[in-house]
Amino acid sequence: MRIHFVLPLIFLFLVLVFPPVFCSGQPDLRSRVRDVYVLLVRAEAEGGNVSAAALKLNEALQLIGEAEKVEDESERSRILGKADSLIREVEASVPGLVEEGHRGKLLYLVTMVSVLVFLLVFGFVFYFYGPRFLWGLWLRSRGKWRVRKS
Amino acid sequence: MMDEEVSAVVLAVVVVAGVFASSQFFLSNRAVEPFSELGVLGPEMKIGGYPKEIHVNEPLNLYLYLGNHEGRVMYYRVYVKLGDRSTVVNENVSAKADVVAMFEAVLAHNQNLTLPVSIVIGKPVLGGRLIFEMWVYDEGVKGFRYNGRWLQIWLNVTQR
Repeated sequence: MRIHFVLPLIFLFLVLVFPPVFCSGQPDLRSRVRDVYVLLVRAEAEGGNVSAAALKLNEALQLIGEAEKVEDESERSRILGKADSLIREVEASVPGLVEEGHRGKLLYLVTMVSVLVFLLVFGFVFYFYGPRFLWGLWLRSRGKWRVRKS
Repeated sequence: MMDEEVSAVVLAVVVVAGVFASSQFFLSNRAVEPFSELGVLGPEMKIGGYPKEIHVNEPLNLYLYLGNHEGRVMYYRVYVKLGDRSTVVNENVSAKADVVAMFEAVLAHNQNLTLPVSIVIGKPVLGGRLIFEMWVYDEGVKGFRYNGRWLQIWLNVTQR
């Protein structure tokens, strides 16, 4: 029975004596930003567009920096909570970015092959039918010209 | 004879145009010469007008400009160090001096950021150099490394 009173008291004592350990949270958040950044690098390598995610991560970093200057504990927690939710948001968006990157890569490949095939076909068609077409145009525009004897 | 010549010219034009279009398509989103930007702007958000003398514990308000043209997302850290005339800093060596502030930013390719910064120096210094160093996060070593970009502002920090 006594232990039920003692344990909370020990916890309270530790929180009061070592507040930075229990309350700051910034180093942890900064390391999470680094982890999420590594995920973003991978997502970008897979072809994902990470511009919006980078902006959010940057906003989270600015909030962490802002929280470090705030002395009021509740205000600091509020700002850090906001930063934390932004980091979570970016982390959650990574699989979607990777998926989008894969789709983009496929689209890029399809477009590239289509452009090359089109150029090849267009080149051959123009090689064989181009002169006839061009001379046809020339004749249509200047076919009625007459040569005058000076 | 004439037809063959015209065909050859037309084909050459088509091939050149095709190669140019394809190369643009391939290279459109790549950084030909990757680089990062670091700048310090004065209190008026302009290049210049930097304070030359401040008091101890008086906030020095400046703007930090960062730009990413590396062709990939980057995680930057800017260390603000307080050195003096004898402090060695160059493209290869970061300054061995006290860190007075640190700022971080994540920027995607072609993004830039102008960040208001407030720096407080807690001791008097004559002929001091406020050195701004750019470091980048290296996923390979799981840490920040100096990328060789640095700037400095000369200033005296005096007691009130």
